Amino acid sequence: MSLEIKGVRKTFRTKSGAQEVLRGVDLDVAHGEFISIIGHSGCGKSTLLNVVGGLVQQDAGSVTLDGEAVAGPGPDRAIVFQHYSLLPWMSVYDNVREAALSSRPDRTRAETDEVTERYLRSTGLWAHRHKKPAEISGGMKQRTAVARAFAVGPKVLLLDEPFGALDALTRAHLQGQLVELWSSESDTETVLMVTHGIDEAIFLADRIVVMANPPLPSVAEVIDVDIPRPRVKSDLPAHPEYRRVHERLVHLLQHELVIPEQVAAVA
Amino acid sequence: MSGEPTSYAVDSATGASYVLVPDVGAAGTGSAGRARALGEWAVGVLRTGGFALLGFGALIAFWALVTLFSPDLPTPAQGFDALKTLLSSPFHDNGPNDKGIGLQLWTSLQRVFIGFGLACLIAVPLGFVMGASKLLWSALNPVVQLLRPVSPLAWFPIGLVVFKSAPTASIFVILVTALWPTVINTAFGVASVPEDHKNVARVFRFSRFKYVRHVLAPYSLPSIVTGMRISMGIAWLVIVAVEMMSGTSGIGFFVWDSYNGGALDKVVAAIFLIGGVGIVLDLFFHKLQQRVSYVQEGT
Repeated sequence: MSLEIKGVRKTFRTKSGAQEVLRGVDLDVAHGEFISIIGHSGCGKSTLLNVVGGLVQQDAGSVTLDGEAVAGPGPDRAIVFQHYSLLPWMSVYDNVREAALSSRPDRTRAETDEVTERYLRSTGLWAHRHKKPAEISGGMKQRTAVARAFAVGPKVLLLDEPFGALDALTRAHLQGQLVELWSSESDTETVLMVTHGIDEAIFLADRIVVMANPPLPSVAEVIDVDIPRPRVKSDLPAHPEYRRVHERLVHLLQHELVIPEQVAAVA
Repeated sequence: MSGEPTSYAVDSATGASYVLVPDVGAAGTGSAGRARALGEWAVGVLRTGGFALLGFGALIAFWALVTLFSPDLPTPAQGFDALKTLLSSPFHDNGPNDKGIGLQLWTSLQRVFIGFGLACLIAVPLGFVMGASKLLWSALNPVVQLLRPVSPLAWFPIGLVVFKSAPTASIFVILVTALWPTVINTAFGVASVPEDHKNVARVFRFSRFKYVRHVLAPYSLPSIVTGMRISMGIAWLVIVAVEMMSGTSGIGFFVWDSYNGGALDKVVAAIFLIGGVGIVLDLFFHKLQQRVSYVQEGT
């Protein structure tokens, strides 16, 4: 096992009371797996990602990576944030290079420069490396964030709804690029991606983790996606496995795991 | 959930994907476009310049009208004559009671620069620690809030007692004046670093030094410069008043001395010069603001 999540609990205390967002989450992720985490808003999937990333400390339970307990952020895990989170005063190049530099003090400067260039080229940003984030499109910003994460060379890549704010064409393009990077040149083997998109989850993942909302915010079901790689997006809908997973996900999300407003409406 | 396209092309290696991701700001400008831009610029300058002339015309008309009812005041013509005379010999020095207007302004500017500079040396670090530490904020913010609304002139007697010198006391008053806006704005900038930026620094393991250098400083710099701009503006206001009290040299002394000598035309001329210097000072900080500003990502 590569990444082990055991009995993780998290409750946020706010002025309006305690909000339980994770209740006993268990998940084992093998080396090289691509996991999609899906669920309605408020089901704690981003919190789970942040616990693995070390940004949020769980109240109970454990997260171990290759047998070592996760306590705080580390160079073995990198996060691609939902809103890109580039530093706006730095160029595209510096955003990637500075992150690589501080995360990996074990590398020489030359190695860092080489890695920075490699990922900026493979994300098609090399020609735009001197631009500031405000001068590039949303898609390019998120590619910069992806390049930054890969440049660290993490064992586990954590993506928090990375393509949610992008238009459909850009999103499809970036999904393809992500698979390319993950499956080819990088050291990164394991990916955890939080998503709202059913198609995105199926296209990218080996397994899909479906999470439920409060009152029982935990893993509701894990679905294997048995579609061989490389996958061609246009061929997917014709694949029987795709249809099976799709139907199951729609059923879960629309009937079994009703969103809180619907509960309120029924009650 | 979303309308997924039915096909896509992986061309990450070549990066030839800009059909999907349109380049920003690459619209070509030909020579015709440039000529038109130049024309628009000229029209813009003429328009703003024209309106400015209109405004000054109204001011002078109003001034002329007031002198009809208050004959002791210099007329606009007398005022401009005095301005011409002052500017014809700005740097002469015939003892303490007859110095060129340029020298007087320079004396005041030096006091402002020294007082402002010292204030920044105190205010920026103080603002940094207040913004970074909740404890220090809670301890120091009430003090700042109590002293901030006090007219800096009230500190003049204290300065006199401590420094036994009116010019030094004037600098001390400028220091106190320039302190508060810079402290408050620096603290605000430092305290409001977005969680997003902090998370980036944590995930990518920025050292403490690197966090200050690459996150905290660039994020709060626009706030700091804004504070400095306000500080400088008030310092230039206050120097005239404090020099009227201290009465040895400087533009404020010049104004008061001219009044006592019955030369109100010089007072009026000095008002325009003080305003002009104020504009130049403010312009400098405006340019500095533009240099340190950045476009924050929309989220």
